[in-house]
Amino acid sequence: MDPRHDDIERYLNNQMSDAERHALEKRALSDPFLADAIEGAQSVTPAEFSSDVKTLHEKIKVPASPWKVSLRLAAGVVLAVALGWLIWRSPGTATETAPVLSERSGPVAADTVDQTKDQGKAVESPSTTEAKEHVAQAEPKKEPVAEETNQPAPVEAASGAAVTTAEPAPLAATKTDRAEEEAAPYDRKASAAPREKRLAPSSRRITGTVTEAEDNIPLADVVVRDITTQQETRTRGDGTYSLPVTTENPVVQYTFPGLQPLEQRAGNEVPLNVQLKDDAAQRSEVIAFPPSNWSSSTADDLRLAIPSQGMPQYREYLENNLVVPASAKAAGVSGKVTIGFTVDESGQLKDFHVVKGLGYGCEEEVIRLVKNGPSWNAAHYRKSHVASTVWVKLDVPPGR
Amino acid sequence: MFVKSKDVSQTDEELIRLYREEGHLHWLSTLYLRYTSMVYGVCLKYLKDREAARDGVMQLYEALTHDLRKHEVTNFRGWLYVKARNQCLMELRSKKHQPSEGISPFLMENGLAEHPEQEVMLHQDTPRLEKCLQLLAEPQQRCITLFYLEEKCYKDITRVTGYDYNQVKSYIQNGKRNLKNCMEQHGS
Repeated sequence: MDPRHDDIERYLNNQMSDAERHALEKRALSDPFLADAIEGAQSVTPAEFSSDVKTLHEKIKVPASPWKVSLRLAAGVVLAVALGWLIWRSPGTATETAPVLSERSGPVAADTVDQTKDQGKAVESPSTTEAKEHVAQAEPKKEPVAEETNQPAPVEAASGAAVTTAEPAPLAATKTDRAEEEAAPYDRKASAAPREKRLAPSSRRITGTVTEAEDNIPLADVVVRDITTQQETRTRGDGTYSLPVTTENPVVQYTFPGLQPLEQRAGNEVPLNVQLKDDAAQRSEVIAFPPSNWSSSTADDLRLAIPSQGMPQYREYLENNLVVPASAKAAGVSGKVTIGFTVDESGQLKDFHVVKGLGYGCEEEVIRLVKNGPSWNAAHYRKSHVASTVWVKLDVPPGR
Repeated sequence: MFVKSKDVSQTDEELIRLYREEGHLHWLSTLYLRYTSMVYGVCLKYLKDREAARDGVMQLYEALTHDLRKHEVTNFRGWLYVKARNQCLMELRSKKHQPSEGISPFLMENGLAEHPEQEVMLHQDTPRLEKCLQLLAEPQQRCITLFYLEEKCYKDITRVTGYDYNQVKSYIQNGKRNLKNCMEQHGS
């Protein structure tokens, strides 16, 4: 089916016969993957493309010998080096760096909210023994090291932790770390100081990223609230947040329209990354986003876009009227399709686009459903109607 | 030991199965190498930057190392495309720090053309096809005829018509779509 992996290069470099060229062009007309690939490849010179592909091939190629060093291990080593540097740089905070780091990769790596919850519980347990144990375990290894500025020992300890815990989501880990670094380099330091003493509650910030569990999409504008003080903030566009807290182990609540709310005891882990998931029993999900000019400091008078007959009825409509395309049935595809669209000031629906698709006509079907479906009321903000984005996520069941 | 010719003969699905069973990266890399240039092309198209696109290819590879172990993937090629595109769009979106507004422009068209459609034309109902062909704008008609009936490649068509490559491509794409719409409207 896929003739040759170097087709694109041969095409670009005029190494194909006219008949071959025609065949490839014809294929591209009904194969968006190939069409996109060719279009992208044509945006650089053939020489650039070939040399880049060659570089990539060299990086990707893994010989057939059974060597066990994986990408993940490499990531672990990078983490370990970074850790070593941290320790070297700031001997004062060395005691808590290691446990924090290993816990940090924990929530990032957690696949489900349940896992994250469990972790939260472990930390929250009355005596917080577990957290203390972490510190206790780490201390003997690190204390002398920190003084001597001698790196090997903690590096090894940390690389072990990183390799095991970072396993499920190395990508997510690097991403969120970076995001956090950019977003709040100061926060980490600020929160590190009081934590180290573990004494009187003082002001610090909880930072992290909120993502949607299934697609791992960063969620913007999630309300993040300390339920004891009612202090709240909202996540930024990349899903990160930074919530000032004043109590020792506050319970943080995350709410987002259309997803299950989550409460999480904030222990000492940094960042506190959580995943919100949709109700497994639900076949549809509708997420209305705030308008683009909305800022979290004036949250008060925002009303999100909503189907005029109400959300439950709307979801019922979606679920009951979906017609699985014959091509999807034939191909045996099933799963979630997410489409996005804009509800403009007057409540008209436009700018339909696919956020996540399955192919085989499924996206078109969901778009059709929404287009022909019940009407919407526009979002309302600062005393006027405004355009805003809505995502509809619908489960396409396996064909019968 | 693994012989090269053996790798070539394995289907994507067999390689995935081997990777899942043995957990050896060799299988995954063999599989991914088949698509590296395509994924890179897709990344280039969306990210419009060589370095970002190269990073994208490697990121996706890393994501595959666990995704393929967790999920059952039946149509790898299609799945990979969706995954690659989503990753690029996420990247673009996170750069813009905007949750959802940034992705619409090009997604629509491509998203809707997601699946390989059957070749409708030419194999059926020639009189109607001819009629629809007549209705196309002149440049589209000309390019479509050269491409489908005379089986000329884009390069040849540019030579014959004087249009440039991108014009030829878009005439054929649009012409094909119009033709298909026309055939459907006048059918049944």
